[in-house]
Amino acid sequence: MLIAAILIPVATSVLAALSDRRSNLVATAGAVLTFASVMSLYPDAGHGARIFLSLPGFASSFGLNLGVDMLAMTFAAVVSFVWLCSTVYSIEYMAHEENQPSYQMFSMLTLGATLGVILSRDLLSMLLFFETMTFTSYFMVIHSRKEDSLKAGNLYLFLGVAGGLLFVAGTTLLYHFTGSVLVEPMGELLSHAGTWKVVVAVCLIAGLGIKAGMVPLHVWLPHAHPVAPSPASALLSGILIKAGAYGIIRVVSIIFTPAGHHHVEEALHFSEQLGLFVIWVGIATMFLGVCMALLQENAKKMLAYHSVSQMGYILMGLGVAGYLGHHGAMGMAGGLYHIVNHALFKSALFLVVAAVYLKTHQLNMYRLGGLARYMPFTALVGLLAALGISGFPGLNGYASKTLLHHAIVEAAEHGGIGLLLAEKVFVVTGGGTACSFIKLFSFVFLGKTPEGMAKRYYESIPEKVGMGLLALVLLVFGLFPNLFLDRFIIGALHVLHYDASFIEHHLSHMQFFTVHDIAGVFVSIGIGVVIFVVGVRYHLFHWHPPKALSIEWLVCRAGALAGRAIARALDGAGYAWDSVLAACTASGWMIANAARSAGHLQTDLSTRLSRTYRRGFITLRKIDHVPATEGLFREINVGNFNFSTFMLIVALAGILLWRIPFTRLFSAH
Amino acid sequence: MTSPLLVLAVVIPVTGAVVIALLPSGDDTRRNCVAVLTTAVTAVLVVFLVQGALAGSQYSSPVLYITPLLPLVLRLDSLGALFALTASCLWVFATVYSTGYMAHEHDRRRYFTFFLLSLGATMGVAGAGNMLTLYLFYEMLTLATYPLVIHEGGEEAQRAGRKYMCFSLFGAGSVLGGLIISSAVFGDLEFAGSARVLDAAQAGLLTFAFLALFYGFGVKAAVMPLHPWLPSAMVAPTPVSALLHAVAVVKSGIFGIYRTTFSFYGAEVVSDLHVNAFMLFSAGVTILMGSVFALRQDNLKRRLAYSTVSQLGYIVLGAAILNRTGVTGGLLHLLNHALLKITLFFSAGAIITVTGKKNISEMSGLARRMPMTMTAFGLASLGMVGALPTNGFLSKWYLIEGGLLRDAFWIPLLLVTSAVLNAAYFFPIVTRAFFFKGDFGRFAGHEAPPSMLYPILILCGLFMLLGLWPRPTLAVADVVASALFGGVR
Repeated sequence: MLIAAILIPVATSVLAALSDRRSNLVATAGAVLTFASVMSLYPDAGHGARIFLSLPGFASSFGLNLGVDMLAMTFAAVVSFVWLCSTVYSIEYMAHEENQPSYQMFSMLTLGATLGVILSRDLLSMLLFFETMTFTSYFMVIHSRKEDSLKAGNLYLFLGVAGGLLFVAGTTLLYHFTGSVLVEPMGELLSHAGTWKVVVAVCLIAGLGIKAGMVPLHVWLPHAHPVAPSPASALLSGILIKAGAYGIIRVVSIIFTPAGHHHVEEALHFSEQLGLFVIWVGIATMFLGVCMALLQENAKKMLAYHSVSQMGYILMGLGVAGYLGHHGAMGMAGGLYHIVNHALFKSALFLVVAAVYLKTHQLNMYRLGGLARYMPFTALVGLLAALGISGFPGLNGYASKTLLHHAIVEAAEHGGIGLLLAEKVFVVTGGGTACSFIKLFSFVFLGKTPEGMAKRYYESIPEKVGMGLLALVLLVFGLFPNLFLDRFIIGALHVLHYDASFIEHHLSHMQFFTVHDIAGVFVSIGIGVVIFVVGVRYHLFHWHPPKALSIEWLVCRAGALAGRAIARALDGAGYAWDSVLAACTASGWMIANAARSAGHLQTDLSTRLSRTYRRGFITLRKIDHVPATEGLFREINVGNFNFSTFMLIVALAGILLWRIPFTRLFSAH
Repeated sequence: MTSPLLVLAVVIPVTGAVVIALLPSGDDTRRNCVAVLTTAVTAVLVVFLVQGALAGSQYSSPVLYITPLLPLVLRLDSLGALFALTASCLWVFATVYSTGYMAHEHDRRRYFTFFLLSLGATMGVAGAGNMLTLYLFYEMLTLATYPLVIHEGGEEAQRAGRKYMCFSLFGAGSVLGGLIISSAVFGDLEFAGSARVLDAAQAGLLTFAFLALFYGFGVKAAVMPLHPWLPSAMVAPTPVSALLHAVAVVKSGIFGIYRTTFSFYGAEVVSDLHVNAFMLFSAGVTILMGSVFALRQDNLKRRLAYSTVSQLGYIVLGAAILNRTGVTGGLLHLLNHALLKITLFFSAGAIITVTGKKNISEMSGLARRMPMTMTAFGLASLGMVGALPTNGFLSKWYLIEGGLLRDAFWIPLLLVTSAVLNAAYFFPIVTRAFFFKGDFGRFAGHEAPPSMLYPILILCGLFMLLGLWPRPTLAVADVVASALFGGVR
């Protein structure tokens, strides 16, 4: 079944590409089968048994290794479920778009690749699927082939590839130090690596962080998510960034968890430092993301910024887990649970916005209004999802936000004043989130309906099924928060070697609906209401921050400047070399010219010499002979010279020269 | 074992060339048949020889003495086998492709004559049994390829040809000087690398001689300051660019460097001479600057040429790393790059034949017209970047690993940077061709003629297969690398 979970989507993609008009249905069937095959893995994963499936010699010298444990199971279940909902939904949505087979093909391929990332048991297999995912999801981003989507797609592709290559660098370093690329704890093998451990961690986490939308590597996200077709946006925002988060969790567990529960002081200590760092990155990400989201008017763009912000929550949870080390189960549980919940409510929200867009062709929420009356089902799902993301008790966001809140408080107790501030930012960010969704819901579904929009819209069955399934799960998870926690997440925590007694005491059968926690959430929501009222009253949401404040702008600017400087320097080097070559060529020419003129000189000389000789010879002949009438030039007549006499004279001369005792002639006495 | 077969590998192409030269210049059918047949027979022969060579038996030809001190001999060991195999097999594809590409060109008889002569010279380089023989065939290759470079005949071609000749002759002179000095020190020109020990008194002389050899062969291998002939030689017909400037000529330079380093001097001597700092530096500069220059080219073939410069740097780097893993990576890349680059060049040639477009900026929407060609091009680009399911990944992995083994932590950084640059100059071509709006829709699907399209598709399938199932290439590279290091790790 393991290989089936990956092969079914791939096979479906082929079928979807071949079947022209029915591709949406084929894809839906494929998604259902995939979900079923993933869920059928649950009993094996639940027993803590890892299924290993190895294809040695495939793609790299380490082969392809697949396996499943509870952590992978948790992710795989959520991925395949949300994909199913989105694909059902797309039956309706994609009917209004061109090129459905191509969309469904790449969507299914991406599903296969994402499941592959999750089920990989070694980093190179993970990389293989990760890169496949980048390329196939690229086609989802640029589906419309419009200018802005191509531009966003290029950025996405380029950063995706860069991330993949950082991952390669990290993996090779890891292999160098540990001799293994398997996904399993090997903290103590790295303890002698010194500073290089940091480099390994940074390479791997940054490579994955690009996908996960970590500030400041998130620059592609607000551009790429909104331009894709909405079901794809739901998947990109709800699922694909979670693949990055999943990778980070795995990497952290590889690098910082010592194998076999042997504590290595240094490893844990370092993990604490890094954990603190990740907490603050998470806090920054959540706060900045929500600030940017509040200023958006395009609903999809706002949701995309919220994805950044919610990833901040998740990162913070993981940071707490790293910070508290062996006892950080609370942070990890919160992070994992929030990953799941965010996948559910964010994709629901994207589908709701998509439904609105499909009917009204408007994404600007200030130009919408009062739609609750005309699309009641969509409005209901929108309300549930908005309450979910705001952390309202009884909906799914509540449980994970409560866990995260517990985690940061725990960390603050352990760590002191700085983290108390972090806790306050956490609460305020919750307020911002609540405000943002009060805004979304009230502007879109409540109030006055603009001209021409006040008519009954038909909400088709695929739409209702797609959104309804998500809303149902939202509600179930909200009302019974322990259901998923006990069945999936606690298993995943055991996989990650957290303190079993801590999990037993604090997480199993946890009481979520306590007065204290509910009050905490309402503080956040209260802050949200206040921000909303103030913001609307004083038109704060229309403020366009100066460009220099935006991180994207700063990153792009810095990148552009650095790129230009490097290009200029290299150009300089290139020109320098070119001029050296030119100088060589020039000197070559000079030498050649000199040689040529020397040649000329020589020719000249020899012509003159030969002319002189000829003149002399002819003059001599004139003396000897009567010149003929024809002219100056004629053949040399050898006939009037007696050759044998000449030879005789030469011979005699030779003998004379030989016999005459010259030495005696010139001798001194 | 002494066997005349090895001589045949050189003689057959030369005979083919003579036959083509004697055929009437209008008789295209028969000429194409002879050309394809000759290369095919050579390839089959080489495959047969290579099997033996990789299994450990060394074929060698009878020795021909110029003077008692200067023997000429052909002897095929595993390194030569790898090179001979790559070149002769790709030559078959290139010849088939040429028959399609050259159909509309002039002077076809001259072209095919020298095309086959070059094959003979390349086989000689691959099978050379000592440095003298290697040098001889290396020079012959220069001479045989010159008419191919200037085939177009215009002023630009003449200038490119002059550049090629000047650089090559400088390189050859440098090689010759290096050989004379080294032979004076070592007393022979044999491939006895694994048995040589450095005599400390001669270190200075040998360092000089080694660098003369390295940069001499480096001219053809396009090591950075000596590369300018390669981009200008792109005026040649595309099959020539594809085969000679991505596979045979440049790889014969690389082969010369590997021979010098591992077979002639021996890895131990080279590492004792401390010259590999030069090699590493040159390779690093080549890798980086080649990619950067490639970014700034609009002419597709020139961009590919600079990419070649950069990728050849990888292979030189593999030699410079001087350990078995690095050499495995370099040899893998020799093979993988040959497959990938020839596909890219063939695609570029197909584009020129079908649309006449040479500049990337004119290729918007091209994939509507030539979907299969552009798909092959896209996949080969992925391979160049080294994305995982393609064969380019594994060579990079081994190079990085080899670099790490000698604690050169800048090597992974360098290779990753270069890969990002590769992505930056290859992907825009692909996205432009696939997704930009252009006016190629009218003749959608009209590809190049089969004699050009099929080689592209077969090669594409081949490198994808080797990407997914790299065991065979890995095994070959491993055998060669272990032979070069005398069987020890």
